[in-house]
Amino acid sequence: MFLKTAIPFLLLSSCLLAQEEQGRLELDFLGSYYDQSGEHSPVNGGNGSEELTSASPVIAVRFTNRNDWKFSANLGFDSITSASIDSMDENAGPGHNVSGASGQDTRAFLALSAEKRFGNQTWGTNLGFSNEYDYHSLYAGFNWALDFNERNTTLGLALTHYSDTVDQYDINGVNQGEEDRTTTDLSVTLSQVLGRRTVMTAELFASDQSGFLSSPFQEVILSDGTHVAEKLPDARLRTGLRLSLNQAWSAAFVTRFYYRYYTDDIGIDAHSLEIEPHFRLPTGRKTWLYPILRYHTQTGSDHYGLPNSFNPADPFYTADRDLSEFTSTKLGLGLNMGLSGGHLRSLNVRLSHYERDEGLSAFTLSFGFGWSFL
Amino acid sequence: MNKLRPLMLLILVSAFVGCGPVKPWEKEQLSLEPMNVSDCPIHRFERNVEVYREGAVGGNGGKSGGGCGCS
Repeated sequence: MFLKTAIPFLLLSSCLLAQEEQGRLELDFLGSYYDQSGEHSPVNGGNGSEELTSASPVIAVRFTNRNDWKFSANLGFDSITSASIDSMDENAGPGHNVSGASGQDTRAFLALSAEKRFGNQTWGTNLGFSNEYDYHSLYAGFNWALDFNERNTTLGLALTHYSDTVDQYDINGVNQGEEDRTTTDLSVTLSQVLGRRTVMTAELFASDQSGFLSSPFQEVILSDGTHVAEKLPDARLRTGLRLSLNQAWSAAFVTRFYYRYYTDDIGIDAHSLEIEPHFRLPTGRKTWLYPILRYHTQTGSDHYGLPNSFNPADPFYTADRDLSEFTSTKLGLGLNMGLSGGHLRSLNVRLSHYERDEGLSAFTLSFGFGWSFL
Repeated sequence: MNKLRPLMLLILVSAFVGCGPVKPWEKEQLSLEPMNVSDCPIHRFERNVEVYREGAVGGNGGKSGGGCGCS
């Protein structure tokens, strides 16, 4: 009901605003389909199907007025169908949820932002919320950027605070109340033009979480055979560094390189590497075709273990393979097409196959259409 | 964070040493679409999956956590 009302309202108010203010209106319709399979569901203590599909449409509207104010709104939802993981059947009855093949969940979200340039500085703020049947999130943040060195260097700062509520559906599907979770993200970014054909970005980030950080419906099987709920510490500090380097070897060949180092205080250290070489196709339009290559490796959390490996006296335990030691690879293909001569501005498509060495695999199809109205 | 110090130092040195400002009229190739420092808009979906399915987050220009039930 919310989406049926919100989408037409968002589109209509954007068009009226663009006409009234005579600014530039950009509209993007984005969508994604995700299909995953695996055999280590944390909902069943590390055993069982991880079958999951998700369809995610998003409408993004950006409006720039004559005074260089930029406003944007993103509205979308994730519709998830799952064998067990991340899904509990909300139709099982009041106060009870059942993990089962019929599990379905919808997460809706709205994000609003405003930004204004003052000389060589840009100030912005954002606000948003997301809602699913057992998880509710509100967030607010601000961002600032400073251009200098003849606009060859940009220093950026972003701070966002999330205030979330987690409904306590336990491993038997019974609602035991609710708990809070807060997250504060800080990101410092430096972008530098290194030459006529090279630009790099370095980002240092930190995320401080506190409150209820476990998933109450995720199960752990102790060494004595008892089934209990996952238990994780109520605080987590996550930090890391990202380095991106884009290099134009010619007007028809560009490489995008990405590296991220991540570490946290529950024992996970991770390295992620991505390379996307872009080839411009010899067509009249600005069309780029690119393979997608990604490699990720991480150490396991101190609290992760296999089923039946946990001592009941352990303070923390989880059977969630997402927090285990593994290596993953992603291979795919992307297409970016810039269009001119009409309102349709761009077309983007990405296809990728993701695989973890412990058996989980996934397929993602994403697409986006962009329109511009002056 | 000690592990990151040499890498941060290398980044800062490479950013500020030995590269004079590039003039606006010299930025033709920097304006090619794939040279954008941000991800393409639909990359967000894969980033979301990585947040859900991996222990690591961040490095996407600001958002690194919260807003979803994933731990």
